[in-house]
Amino acid sequence: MPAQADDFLINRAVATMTRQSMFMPGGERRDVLYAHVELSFPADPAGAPFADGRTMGFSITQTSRVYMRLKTWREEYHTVVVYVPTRAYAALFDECVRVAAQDIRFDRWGMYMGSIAPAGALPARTRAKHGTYCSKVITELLQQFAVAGRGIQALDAASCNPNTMFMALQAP
Amino acid sequence: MERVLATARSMQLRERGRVAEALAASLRDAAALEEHAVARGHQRGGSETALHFMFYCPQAPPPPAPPRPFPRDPSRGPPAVP
Repeated sequence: MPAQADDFLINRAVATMTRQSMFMPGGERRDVLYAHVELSFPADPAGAPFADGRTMGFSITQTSRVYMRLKTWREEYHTVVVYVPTRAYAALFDECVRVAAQDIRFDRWGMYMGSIAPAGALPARTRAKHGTYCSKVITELLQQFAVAGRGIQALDAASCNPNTMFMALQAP
Repeated sequence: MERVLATARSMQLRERGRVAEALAASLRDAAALEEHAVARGHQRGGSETALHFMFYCPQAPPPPAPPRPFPRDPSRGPPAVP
């Protein structure tokens, strides 16, 4: 999400409202407080890395449409690396480019309701009609290509958020 | 009053320590996950490619920019040099 001071409160509210707790190997509890998630492709489908240390970022924010564009990452972003079959990586990359070209808007209502409603309780909201939000569109695409592990595959895309995605990635 | 202030300072220092520890733990986790993923990738004979998930953690807002100095009236000549 952009770093303007005026969306600091929204980011904090989203992160706090959807917070998860995890236990460290030593038994210590840690809060997971993320407000936004993006996919980052370090190389193109042919395996060539992008110039200047940039990567191709795929997501959507409250002030944008779904995008796939070259990015550098600020230190507020934490990276989780997952290895996926190279063929699936290329297919996922192409699909992200295709979805980003569809001019899909941000679904504010879906994001807030998804955070508080139980899984499966929300009526279906489509990308074309209602729009989407970061964790939903990313989860749907990962499920479409069956990558990123069982935790991600088991998520309900419509009610997940960056924190539940982070927790799902910790699943073996 | 001084005792109250000392207690408050000590609480603040303890809180800072906890935040620093949590941050260090988070960095260790990320490094461990990355090593694990690299090891898995190598084990599968290079048929896998790294995909990154970037999680945004909102931090305190940046401090406000310092006020811009009032424009100097050019009719008053150059500033005095001490």
